[in-house]
Order: sequence, then C-alpha cells, then structure tokens
Amino acid sequence: MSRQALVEMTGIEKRFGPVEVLKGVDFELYENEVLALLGDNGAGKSTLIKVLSGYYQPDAGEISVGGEDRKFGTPQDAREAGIETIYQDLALFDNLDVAANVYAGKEIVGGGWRKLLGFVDHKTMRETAADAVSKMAINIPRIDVEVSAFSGGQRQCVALAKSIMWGRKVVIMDEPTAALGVRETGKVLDLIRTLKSHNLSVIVIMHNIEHVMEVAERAIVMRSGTRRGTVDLKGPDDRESHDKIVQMLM
Amino acid sequence: MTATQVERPSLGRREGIEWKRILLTREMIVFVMILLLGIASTMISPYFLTAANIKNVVIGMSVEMVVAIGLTLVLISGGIDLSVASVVALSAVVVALVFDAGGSVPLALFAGIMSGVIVGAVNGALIAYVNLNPLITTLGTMTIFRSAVYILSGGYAMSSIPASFKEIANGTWVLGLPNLVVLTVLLVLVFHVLVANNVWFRKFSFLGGSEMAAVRAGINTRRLKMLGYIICSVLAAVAGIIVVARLGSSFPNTAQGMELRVITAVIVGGCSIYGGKGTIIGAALGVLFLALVNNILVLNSVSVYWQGVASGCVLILAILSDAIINRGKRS
Repeated sequence: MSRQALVEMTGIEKRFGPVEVLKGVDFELYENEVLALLGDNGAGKSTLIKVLSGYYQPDAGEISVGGEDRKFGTPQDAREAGIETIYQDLALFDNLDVAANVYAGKEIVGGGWRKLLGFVDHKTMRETAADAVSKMAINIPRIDVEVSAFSGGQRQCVALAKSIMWGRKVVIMDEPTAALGVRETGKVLDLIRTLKSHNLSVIVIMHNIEHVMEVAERAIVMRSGTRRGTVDLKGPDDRESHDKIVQMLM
Repeated sequence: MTATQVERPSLGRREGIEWKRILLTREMIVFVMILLLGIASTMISPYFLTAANIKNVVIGMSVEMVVAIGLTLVLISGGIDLSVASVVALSAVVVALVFDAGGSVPLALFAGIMSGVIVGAVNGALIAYVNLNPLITTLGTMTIFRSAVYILSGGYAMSSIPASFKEIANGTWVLGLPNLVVLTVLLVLVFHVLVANNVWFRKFSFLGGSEMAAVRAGINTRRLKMLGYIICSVLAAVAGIIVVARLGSSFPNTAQGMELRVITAVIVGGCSIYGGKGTIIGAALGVLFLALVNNILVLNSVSVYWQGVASGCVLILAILSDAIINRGKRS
C-alpha cells in the first residue's frame, strides 16, 4: 500500500554542538491519520517535532507538505503551511474567555464604524468560537468565562478548537495526556478522534503504549536519533503490534 | 458528563442578564460602595453633598485618575511602573522651565508630553529589550527622575505660568465643568473602551495573561511592552501638565508618594498585580472611592494622618473580598 504522504521528512539531521540528536531520520504522515511518535527520553522525538513545527532548522534533510518542498524558518512558517503544534502548556490565556483565546492574534474586526476604530466583533467571535468548541468531544460548560476555570481536558479542547477553526491540516500534540487523570485522558483521546473526524492528521507524542494503541493507527518508534521502524496498529487489542512496539523500544 | 455530543444551542449566546455575575464584578462592588459611602457621608456631614465639596473632590482626584489609566494599562500587561509620580513631577518642571525660558504654551505642552515619551521609552527599553525586572527598574528610574526634578528646578518652586495655560485646566469650556475634569473623564472613557474593544489595545491583556502564548499568537511582545510603558509615562506627563495648569506653579515635590496611592486605588478597582486583570473604569472607580474616603475623613476633622490607615484598610478589605468571592474556584 503506497499512499501519497501528506507530510514527508527525509534524512533529517540535527546536532547541538557535539551531540548528534537526529541522525538522518525519515518520517511520513498520511492524510487523515493519527500517528503516534514513540521513543525513550532522548530518542529525538521532540527535536524531530520541533523541526517540523519550525522551531529548529535541520542541519540536513528535506521537508515536504502536500508534495511541496518547504523550509520552515519560524513556527509561523509551519503554521502557514497548515501545521499547528499544541504544547503541553497549551499556550492559553488563563485570564481570558474562550472566544478571546481562540481568536488571539486573529480577531474579527466589526464592520462600519467599528472597523474604523479597530473594534472587535465580540458577538461573531463568541458565536463562532462556541460553534468550534461544540464540535469537540468535550463539553465546555460556558464560553464566556475565563479558561482558568476549566479542567485539563476542557483546556485541551479550547486549544484544539483553534486548529480546527484555522483550517490546519496537521496537529502535533506533545504529550497531551501527561498531566491528566484517567477520566480526562479518556476525553483527550476522544478529542484526538474528533480531530480525525474533521479530516485532520494528528501526530501525538506519547509515552503510554496503552493510550497509543487506543487512539493511533500507526506508530513510528525512535531510538537514539534514528528511526527504529513503523508499526500499523489495529486497535487496542492488537497484541502483536503492541509487542512489536515494545521490542523496538527496548 | 458524557463524552458524546449533545446539542447545546445556548452556548455562546447570552441568555438574559445574569445579575449575579454582574453584581459580583469588582467594578460593580466598588460602585455600590461609592454609593453607600456617599449616602453615609451625606448623613454624617452637611458639607459633603455641596457643590463646592464635590467639585473639590473631583478636581483633587483628576490627576491621580489620569495617572491610574496608564498604570492600569501597564498592570494589565503584566508589568508595573513605580516611576509614574516622578514623571508627573518631571513633566511639571519641564513645562515650568519652558515658560521660564519664555516659551509658548504649545511648546510647553509639547515639551511636557515629550518628557513622558522619553522617560517611558527608557523604562520600556530596559524592561522589554534588556529584560530587566519592571519593579526594580522603575524603582530605580523613580528615584532618578525625582532627582532630575530637583536638579532641573534647583529645588525651587517655579510659578511664572501664563494665565492662558492655567485656563487649560481651570477653564470651564464644556457645560460649566472644569476642563481638567472633562479631560479626565474623556480619557477614562476612551481608554476603557479601547482596552475592551480595540484589537491593538486588547493585546495588553494577552501579554498579561501569558507572554509565551502571546508570542505564539504572533504578537511582538517586546514592542508592545515598550509602548505600554510609553503610554503610561505620557499619561503621567499629561497629569503633570494638569498639575501645573491647575496650581499655576510647579513644585519639585509634586506628586510625592503618588505612585503608591495610585497603585492602591487601581488594585481596589480590580487590577491584579500579577497582570492580565483589570479595567480602566474599575481603576477610576478605585481612585474615586479612596478620594471619597479621604474626603469624609477631612470633613469630620479627622487628622490627615489617618488617611493612610483608611486607604490601607480599604486595600486589604478589597483583596480579602476577592479571596472570598473566588473561594472554591479553580485557580
């Protein structure tokens, strides 16, 4: 089965001083796929992701998105190419409500005299933001309160609503379940499925193999700066793939 | 709660007026307190509700209110500016020096404002681009600017202020209200509306909420911070101009200690010292409230030495009420 990859990275190398963190890594992400990126601490997952999201420039290697060669000088470049990264801290404004968070930096300016004064259109922003979060798998009790009042899963939901709204193609999530309890983790996994149902592709970095088995369709395993291999996953009860992953991790 | 989707048509739409939420905003609490204090004061003192007294209170607090606007903006953006009072005095002395040297009124106004732009740029550059701590930086510039005032004035009051300049503050061009009161109210309203609605001014709340998130949202946080301090200092400079125009002279100890009084007032009005929270109206109400508290003390012949006790108690009660209202909320 040879599908056209949505994102392709080939021969990515990255070193920090004398340390070779990525030693020519290949990576591919297919359309509408949930891909788990696995590996021990220091395997190079985060560095690889930061190359893809524009935070690091690779020393060698190529990146293509949708068949087009790309060079990401800044995270903004990656975002414009349709790749959004959700960090562990979620980069939310705790002091502001959902609409302000979702529209941060891309406010809707009202028409007529409001345009002249640069005034935002609160009503439209509130309604469209409500629309976006209501498509997600997590209930947001109300959208006109500060997001500091929300639980971990609800905050993820707000952060992810942005990527759906802004028509991103790829969402990268860096350990989305790391700080969450069992219930919240389940909800975040639901969120990832929601993203897929909106035709997005998702890359998740996760440590917990059970969670990976539940939500991902494929896993790429990394080890000391190289790619160990990829495993297709057929659901949570796929023992064979599970064992394969564990073997690669060892 | 279920993970599956349910229809929630009400989300995002406002259903009626939620009185409890509105009543529990800090602005509303302070507003009600002002009304209660006004009623109590009227009963206690026959002099309180007289035109002369109200005029005194309103004129007296105008300068602090203008300073409070800029300081609130800086506090919302997550910074602090202790140098505001020194900037008030600096702009006042610069204006007086221009008149001493025979300068015209427009030149004096320009020089006063420019002094604010320059010192604001110094504060802003040190904090935004050199990454110094705002509290320490402005503590330093506070003493430097105050010293500059004494150096420039030689320690003397200067009072060669032309009548046309005094008219700027004391004239009654609109509805018989003193100009400085009209200007203050206008500034409060304009800045309040801007901070709540204008795309650019809203960025200060983003910056105060999370600098990292602001950077990721594509905001040039350094430039924004710098401009925040410049706006704050320019407003302080405007306050300095008002002081000179009102009093007809410039004293080197103008606005001594005002920075802490204004910070107290804006926190009473709902600003957070940690950034991200507060409104300009709230800050203005805080200034008004403390001015009324001091006024009623004076009217009842309580020694002015008690004013500090009163403001301190109000401040502590204000943050206490916050703690009570927010109890049980996620932090």
